[in-house]
Amino acid sequence: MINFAKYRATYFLFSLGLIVAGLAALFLGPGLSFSIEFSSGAAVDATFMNPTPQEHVDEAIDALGYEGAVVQGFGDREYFLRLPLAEQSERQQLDVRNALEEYAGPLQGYSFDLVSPAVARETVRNGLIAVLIAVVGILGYIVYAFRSIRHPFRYGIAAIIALVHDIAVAFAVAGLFMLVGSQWLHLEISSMFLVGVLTLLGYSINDTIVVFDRIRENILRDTNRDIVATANYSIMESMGRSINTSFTTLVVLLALFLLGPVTIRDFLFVMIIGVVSGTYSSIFTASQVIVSWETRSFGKIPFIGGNGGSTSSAATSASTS
Amino acid sequence: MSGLLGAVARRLQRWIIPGFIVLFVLFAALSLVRDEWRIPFTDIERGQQDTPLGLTLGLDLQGGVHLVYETVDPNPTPEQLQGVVQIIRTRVDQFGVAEPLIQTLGANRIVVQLPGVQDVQAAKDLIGAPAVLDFRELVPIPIEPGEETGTETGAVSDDSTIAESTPDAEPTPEPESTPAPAEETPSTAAESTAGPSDGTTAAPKLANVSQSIAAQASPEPTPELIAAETPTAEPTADAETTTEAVATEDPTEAVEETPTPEPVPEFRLEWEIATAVVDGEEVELTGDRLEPGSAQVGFNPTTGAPEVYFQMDGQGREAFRLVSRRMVGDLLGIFLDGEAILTPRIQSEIPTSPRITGLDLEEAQILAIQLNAGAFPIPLEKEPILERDVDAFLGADALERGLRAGMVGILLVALFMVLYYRMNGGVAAVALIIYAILVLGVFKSIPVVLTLSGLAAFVLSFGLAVDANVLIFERMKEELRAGRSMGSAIDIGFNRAWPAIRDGNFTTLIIAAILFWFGERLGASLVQGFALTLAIGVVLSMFSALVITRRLLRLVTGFEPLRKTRFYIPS
Repeated sequence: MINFAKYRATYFLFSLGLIVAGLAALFLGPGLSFSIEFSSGAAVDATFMNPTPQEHVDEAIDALGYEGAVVQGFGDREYFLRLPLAEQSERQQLDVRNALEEYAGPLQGYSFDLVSPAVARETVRNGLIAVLIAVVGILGYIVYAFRSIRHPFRYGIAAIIALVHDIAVAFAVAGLFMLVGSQWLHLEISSMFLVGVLTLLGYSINDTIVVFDRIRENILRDTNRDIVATANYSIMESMGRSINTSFTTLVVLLALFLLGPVTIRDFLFVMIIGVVSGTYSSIFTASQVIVSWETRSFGKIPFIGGNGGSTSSAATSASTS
Repeated sequence: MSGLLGAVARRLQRWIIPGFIVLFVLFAALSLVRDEWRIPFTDIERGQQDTPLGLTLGLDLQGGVHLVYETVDPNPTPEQLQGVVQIIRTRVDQFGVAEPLIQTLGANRIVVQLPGVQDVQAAKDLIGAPAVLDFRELVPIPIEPGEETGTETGAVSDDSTIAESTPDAEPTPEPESTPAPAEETPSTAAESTAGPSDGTTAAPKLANVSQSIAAQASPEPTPELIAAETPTAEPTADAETTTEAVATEDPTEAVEETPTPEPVPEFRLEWEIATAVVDGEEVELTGDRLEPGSAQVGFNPTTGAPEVYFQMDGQGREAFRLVSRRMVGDLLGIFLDGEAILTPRIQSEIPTSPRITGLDLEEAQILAIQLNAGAFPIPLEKEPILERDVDAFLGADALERGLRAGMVGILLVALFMVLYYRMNGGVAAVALIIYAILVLGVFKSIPVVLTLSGLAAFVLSFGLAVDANVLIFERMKEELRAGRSMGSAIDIGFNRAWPAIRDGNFTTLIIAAILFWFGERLGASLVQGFALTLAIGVVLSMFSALVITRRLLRLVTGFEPLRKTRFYIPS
């Protein structure tokens, strides 16, 4: 049996390191900007009939006199534009289209989104509320579902920690990605990005529950085994499932990411990171938080040492808590 | 007796439940092939013939316009808001949009979805304007002491701001048609672009008023007011009326005709709604006096220019006649939403309803529709607070890419299942195909609008369905390795997997509900489509894994040659 629990401090430090590095990249590097849904403005997806160099698109935007516009190309015919709201926003849709056709050539496809500042403020507020309600709802459900074993609340909190971990990792990886890949995919915090975060939240919890379900079952079945052994055993048992499910989900997500429409790439990016991180965190975060909490010890770091992980100390601390 | 009940129960279990499942799946499959076999959950006819499987597509996949408007008043009554919705619906219907969606959102917003509409600007012009029509005359208002002439502001009736000129609605007059004097006027009304709702008005001197109005209200072609007999008036009759009742053909003319600025400093002129006493009752000349449904577009028989004809009701016609008689030689202002669209000079009494000229064909059509649908009880903000336009090309492109990617993903997953879980995997692959048919059948029957994000959710829910199967098979494998018989391994496998499947799916349902709420606040069909699809997917994926996979496994293991344990445990 592999002793997963032994080096739990290492896993925590690894996660922490990744998150800190990612957040540093997020704040010090190019970082993620908010999409128009959260900051107001206009977004355009323009596909030209013929290959069109970006300079022409830039010219059109200059001619309109927008400041702080972002132009991003996909292939040589499709461009995404982020524009500030025009004063006469009622006609902006038409003005931008006309300018593009005049300076850059005939369009084959054109989509235009506009969000006013009032709506953007509400979206930010509602988005935060949505994430908060989701977290509380999940916590409540897990505490209820694990009421048959000791400390159901700890399972709820551990699941939430894993979940926050996954969201943090998603942002961190997005931050690191923007250091190198922003030309290829300009990630933004959009409503689809948020949908990705919420879905990831569901996926992460799903993964955690599968492992916790094994722990619950093993605790009820064999009460003599201590929590360290139970966790290790449960992780082993659910490993096959976790890997297979993550793999199949990843296959589907990658197919969509590579072949699917570009408009939902923000969502898919978050989900792909989330699936990997969710599987990792169910084993190396959620379960280890339970072990640490029940044994009141963080385990060992290789070559550094530390107490914990041993059967006797686990048993005593579990009984005293 | 109990024996009989037992027999019935056994029979129920053996035949009726599987029979029901088969029928259900069959029905879902048929509903995809033939529209008339759609399960009639609702009476909404939304299936489209030219979409894959007749599914209803969202705006992001078929193209169209999604607009959210807000009322100027932050707290309208529900009746007022509903009134606006009704009027927008009437306008949109007359405009000829198939399957529009118009509904209130929160306390003061309205969502308008117009599938397939490509001319976004026309749609916005049609929907956003309150369409309050009125006829006004210039009335001298005494200037209160201390008030400055020239720039001071004075309140006019609510929405009747004179000279509220918005550049976009009013092409700048061509230089050749605007003579120098008008441009040099120090403080013209046209320059003092007052905010849309602050009710202020520049109060220029007499001469300036007419100058600026003439200049401002004379886009090309020069509008004119003419008495219209009937929409189908004979050319000759029409020509006659044109000569008899007339028009500021040329701004210059208007300026010249204006009495020389004999300064009357105590007065300034303001546009006020013209009234007349008819049968002892004071009648205001407003859009309310229009005969409902009478507005239509016609063409001037001599110039061929589009015009909007309309009929006023009895009192309105009489009031108009009286007003025109009283105002011979004066300017009549025809205002739409507080903006002068025409300011002709009345040359003689006009016994019939007027008609509006000087519009292009599209403007004329939109105005006619708006006049017929009536004016909003409360005004909307002119600019939508949320706008999402997708044209048909991008929609079709996204749909094609989404379907292709989804198909590739699903095939790869099925392949993996068969390779890894052998016979079980094969059964799961069949169950997954059935699952896909069920989801699409439900989508079509309810109907659920398929959006891009919904497509993503569908593909993701596929992952959940796979997950449930994987959980069950892993448990089965354990039981088989422990040496259990096939039958009990299936039962124990399903029972042991159930709590994890239940907990996982329930939390996902919680998330879906929250997402749905989040999307509803926004009027964001993108998010809502995702949430709804995810929820349907979760429920059906549980059904597919727990019921269909189980039945199929029982069926397969019923055959002796297929019961060998090595078919079910990967080496």
